[in-house]
Amino acid sequence: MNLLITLTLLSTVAMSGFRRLKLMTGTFMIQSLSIAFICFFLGYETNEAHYYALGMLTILIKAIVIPIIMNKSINKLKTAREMNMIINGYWSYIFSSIFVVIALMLLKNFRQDLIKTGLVLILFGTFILITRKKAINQMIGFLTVENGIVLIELSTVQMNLAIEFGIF
Amino acid sequence: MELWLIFGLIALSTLISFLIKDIKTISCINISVSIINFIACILLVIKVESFDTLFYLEKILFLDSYSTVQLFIISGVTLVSSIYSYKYILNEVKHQIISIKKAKIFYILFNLFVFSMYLISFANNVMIMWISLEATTLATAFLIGFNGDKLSLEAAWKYIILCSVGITIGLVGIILLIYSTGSNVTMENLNWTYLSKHYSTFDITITKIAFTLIFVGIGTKAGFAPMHTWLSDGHSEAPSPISAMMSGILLNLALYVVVRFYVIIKNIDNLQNFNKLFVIFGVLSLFISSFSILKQNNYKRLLAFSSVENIGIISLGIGFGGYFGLFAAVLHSIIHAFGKTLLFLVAGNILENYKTKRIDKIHYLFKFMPINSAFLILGMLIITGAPPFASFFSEYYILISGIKSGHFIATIIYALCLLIVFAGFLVAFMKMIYTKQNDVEVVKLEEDGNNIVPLIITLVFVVFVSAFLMDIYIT
Repeated sequence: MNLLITLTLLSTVAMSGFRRLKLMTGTFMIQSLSIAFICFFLGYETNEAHYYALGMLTILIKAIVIPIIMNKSINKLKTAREMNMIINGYWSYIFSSIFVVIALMLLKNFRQDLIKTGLVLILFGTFILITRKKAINQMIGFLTVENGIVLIELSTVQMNLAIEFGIF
Repeated sequence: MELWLIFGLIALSTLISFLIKDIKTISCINISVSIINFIACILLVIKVESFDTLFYLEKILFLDSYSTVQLFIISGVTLVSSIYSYKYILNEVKHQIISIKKAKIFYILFNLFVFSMYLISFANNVMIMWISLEATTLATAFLIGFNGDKLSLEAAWKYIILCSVGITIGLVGIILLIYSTGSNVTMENLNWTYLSKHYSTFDITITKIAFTLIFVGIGTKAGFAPMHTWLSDGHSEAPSPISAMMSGILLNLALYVVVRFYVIIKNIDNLQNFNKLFVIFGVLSLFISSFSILKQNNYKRLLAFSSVENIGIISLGIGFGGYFGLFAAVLHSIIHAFGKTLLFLVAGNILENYKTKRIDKIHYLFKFMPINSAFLILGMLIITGAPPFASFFSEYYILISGIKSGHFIATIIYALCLLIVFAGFLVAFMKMIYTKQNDVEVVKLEEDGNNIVPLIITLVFVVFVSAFLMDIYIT
């Protein structure tokens, strides 16, 4: 479990320095996959079916369909890199580490690590949304925010499957 | 019964616009559906008056007096803008600005938009409320980018990014709020009616964070001032009937969702001063939008900023509270919906003939399009709050409630901003209507009387609200 959370966090932080668009989608895929495995793990622990369903959905949509669509549209583009970011890679690393600290400080009363990771993902997703100029990078930022919400929702309240699908 | 009629008919109309190729039949069906829905909504309003609250589908959907107000606004404005889009779309297709396929897409999205708005006003389950709010974002994003040129695509992208982020922040807030109840989550205790009764078990710290997140997040969609930047682009680029619906209904509905959550938390001890949030954001919206109106050179943008201003007024009414404040806020949301619809539709008519949105390119409208300019003046008077209309009374009551509740600085800024807005409207529209251009021969345009019926219906609504509805509420 801790390993999976670490993987999610690492892939998120790693995203901040990448310029190549394909590398971005790749890391995003790793992030979604590790979230899906977190779902499976929770399902295995609690024996509830809807965790499995959520994990399958995450794999199907966020790890397979969306990266394929993105790679297709990247191939159509002329430039494969994000050239002028508003905040460059070096500072993005620093910011993402600041986000981790903020999340740990704000939510130190919570036992679970999932909700902290979720907050980091939301903060970092909005950060990417603001500082990148390419539309695809902004999409990835938005999807990262969504992944963060899935994590928060997993850790706090267990919704019905229909509603989980709606959030999706 | 009426509920199933409403949702079934809209679904049917979506299906028909998917299958049939003839645009004329599609739009006729669309109009008749919205007329039937309007009648059904009126029946529901009468029903709620005698039963107080109605529940459907194991309490997932419900109706009380506040949601019937929204229902009245939705059905009325939808009726008007579906009648308007009949001629609008036919005209666009005739001049080959859009293809038939695109017109079909317009009607499909239109129906989806209306469907999700009805769902918001019916929803009792807070998650369904949120999901349908998100659904309106998706439907309207495509409608904003409908023209497909660079400006409208940019506006749609801005809209989708800002509103989705806002609404996800709102979702985090909602999740935290439900978490703070401390109970296991079933369908039953996601209901608004359950949450509003069991506020005493809430964890105070988490609830504070949660409501602030909800307010800021969903307030983005309502168009409060620091988060209003999508609004001016989005409303000015969308097709006119859609901008009318967006600014008349959608902003109201987003505010309605925020108010629903406010009702849940306002009785908790130590959280009574959360109405300050409404006051601060309301004053900020008023201040920013009134100065933006003064310097505007695009009349649709001007109307969009005026929506921000009116949302500010409504939220001030809620923030001041008291009987007068709340009553005036509800009344103002109704009159603003119809008045803004009238103005946006007139702006659509002008845009269709002049093909420009710039104020300084339009002269002497009073001679070129006399009927439309008469409606323009009327709409301006309604929105700025001139005496015979209900908007005057709502703004006046908000002023009174502000003084009564002791928010003196906010009240002073409010009064000043109303004056500035009035001046801004006068400068812009008088320039369009009365300024003479010397070297152009004055000929009355033939298209002047083309799309007048929806304007008349809107005016009837406004007069109805001003004359009858106020009496009902006051007594």
